[in-house]
Amino acid sequence: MSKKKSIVILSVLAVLIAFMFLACFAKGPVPGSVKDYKSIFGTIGKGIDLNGGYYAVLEPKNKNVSKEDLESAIETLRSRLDENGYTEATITKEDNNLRVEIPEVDNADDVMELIGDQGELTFRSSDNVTLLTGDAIADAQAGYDPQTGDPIVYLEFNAEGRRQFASATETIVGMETKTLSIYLGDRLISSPTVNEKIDSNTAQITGIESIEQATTIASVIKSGALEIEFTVGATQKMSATLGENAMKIALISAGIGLLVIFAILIVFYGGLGIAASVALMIYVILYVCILAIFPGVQLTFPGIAGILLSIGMAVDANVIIFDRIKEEFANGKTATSAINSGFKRAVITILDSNVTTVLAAIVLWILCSGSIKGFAITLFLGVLVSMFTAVVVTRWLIKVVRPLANDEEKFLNLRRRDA
Amino acid sequence: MVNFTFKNKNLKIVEKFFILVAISLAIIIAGFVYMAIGGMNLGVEFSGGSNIQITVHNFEDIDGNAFKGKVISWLEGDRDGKDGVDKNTKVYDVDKNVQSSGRATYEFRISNEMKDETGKMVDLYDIPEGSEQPKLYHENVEIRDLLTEDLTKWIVEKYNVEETSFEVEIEPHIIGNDVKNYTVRNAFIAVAVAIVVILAYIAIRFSPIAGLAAIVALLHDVLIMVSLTTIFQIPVNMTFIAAVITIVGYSINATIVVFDRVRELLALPSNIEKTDREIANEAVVGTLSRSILTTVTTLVMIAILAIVSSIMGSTAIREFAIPIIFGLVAGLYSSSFLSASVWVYLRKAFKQSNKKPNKKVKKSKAVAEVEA
Repeated sequence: MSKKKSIVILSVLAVLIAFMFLACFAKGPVPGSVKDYKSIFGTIGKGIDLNGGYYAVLEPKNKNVSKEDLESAIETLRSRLDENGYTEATITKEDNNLRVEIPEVDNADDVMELIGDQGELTFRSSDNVTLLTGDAIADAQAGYDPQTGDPIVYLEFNAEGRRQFASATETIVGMETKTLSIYLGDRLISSPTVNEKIDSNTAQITGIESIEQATTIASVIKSGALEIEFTVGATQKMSATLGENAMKIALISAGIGLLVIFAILIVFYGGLGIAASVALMIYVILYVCILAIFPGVQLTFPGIAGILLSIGMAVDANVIIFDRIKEEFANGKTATSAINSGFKRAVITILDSNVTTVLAAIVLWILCSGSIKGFAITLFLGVLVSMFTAVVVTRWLIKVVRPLANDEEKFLNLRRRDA
Repeated sequence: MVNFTFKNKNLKIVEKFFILVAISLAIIIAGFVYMAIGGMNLGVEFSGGSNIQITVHNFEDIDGNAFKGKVISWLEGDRDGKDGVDKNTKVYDVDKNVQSSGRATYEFRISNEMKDETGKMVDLYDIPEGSEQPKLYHENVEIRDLLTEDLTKWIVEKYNVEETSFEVEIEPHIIGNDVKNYTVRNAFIAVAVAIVVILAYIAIRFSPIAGLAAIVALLHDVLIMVSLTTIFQIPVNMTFIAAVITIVGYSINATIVVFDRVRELLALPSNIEKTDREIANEAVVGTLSRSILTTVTTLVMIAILAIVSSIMGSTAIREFAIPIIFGLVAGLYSSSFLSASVWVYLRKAFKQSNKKPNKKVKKSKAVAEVEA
């Protein structure tokens, strides 16, 4: 390779890297459009600890719950979440407990309170006798009362339900206190007064605070009662601002850290260090792109540290190779053969040492949940990409930078062993 | 440019083994003494209970200590003269105060224990079967609203500011016993399984003795991390487990680099006369510059993270970064100064010393190429 050719390659590379860094990290308004460019980094899936959100662990009250009941409870919860627009929410099993995570939600408290409720719908008389249950309902819809504008839930009875409702209202009319109380689980939703027998296939629930609550109630009624009664075993709401702050910290740290590492590598390894620094930049770009497209990646608090750590490991791979090259050269090889044999020998070391990290990451991914799972996947992908860049990209870059040197030994910081 | 190498020096690492082990043991023993006296600073995920984070937005001049005193007495049941239902709950100041532009965040821990009518401490989650379980969650929504209201009132009265000019935000983090037990158990299983898998890999790729020696080095790193974390009272939660597992994965790298060198030296025909001790010393010295340099670069990365997060006020990241720093240093120490010596002593114990692999069979292909 001629000097001219390497300068051309390096210039093209510099432009490409600069462009990709912008694509990866820059965000802002797109000219001539109302949309904001989110950056490739911005499109990586983020866990609730970074993006803000809410989680709750539901514990069955009865510990000896059957697997089938648990599965159908998950299905019921799933449909309630979907009905409420939380399609991004996840439900995972932790033994017999269910961990529900709802991303990017502000007022999940009330929603979760209802969604986790056993949710058996009952119509009761004033002396607390159940006259009608959720079995009577064919459909439930949230809406507004056309007269008052208040949020309500429309109920549609099935044939059997219509008959039951008629006889229930008849009973109420004959009683001293003419109220029909509507309960969802233990929660009293409303107690309308019934003045006459109602024979209709529709009814309304009034006395609801907001349309959101009406939607939730409708979804709970429609999905039917949960087979299992749950208590809330753990819960946390996470603020998006804390997460944003963490991301900012991580990006700033990574930026400063990389510059310091470039300086260290160039001070110790000269031209080899320059090649490694360029390779590390390519590594960062590749890594960000892979995180953005790999399915199931969820960036979490520990996941950020996983990223920084795999940058450390990428540097490690380069250091192992360069140390080896220096040693081979010191023992009397020419620069070219020292580089070749240095790479060959170091690849085995790098493989053996990184496979253990990959194994640890896989174990974590399988056995842990939540934020640690996010950590495992960033570490796993990071180590794989770092092996590739250290072994393939750095090697090619060394070929590119070598013609730049006038005094190659000095440029690559190689020395013969003192006699 | 800088060249630093130890290649021509004989550091006699194996000969200094017992002094080097003593230093580590001193730290580990100190850590366990601390643990016996004061215990670890368990985060809410491992202790169970509730943490609440209270953030005051858009109000800078708050007196942190007075505010915290108000919150604690409120949570312990003093509601402006009236007793709360949760009177006699234990409340701790987690001492995790973050003050940055426009907001101040304070964190408190409320234990799951509460005094009952007879004055006995009972676990809120450990209610006998059949009796009514406290609906902690629902209660908390109400209590939170009440607390927000009272704290807002307190700030308005004390600082004479408009009620609408600032905002008090309360974010609870509640962990019941069941979830706590699951978390703790899973963390231990994850670490144990990871160690077994790594051991198996090294036993296959190197030798069972190298695998054992690597595990000794790993346990050393984990114990040092736990000890220093206890001594410095850094909160232990799920991120700490992530840190431990990270170090398990990372420090094994360094140990493997050393054993990789041992394997290579053993295979060299010119080393046929050398003792284990000489080979171990040579392997350590030959890999020392690499080990120091990589640890330093990774340390730089994590140290910058710790510093930036301290400046920008993210305790969660700092709490992750600091145990990793402990682990990185412990990992450098164990892989360079302990692992090869342990290998020598284990070989002696299992009467494998000076066993050289059969040159023709075991010599790896790469070594052959390097020699060529």
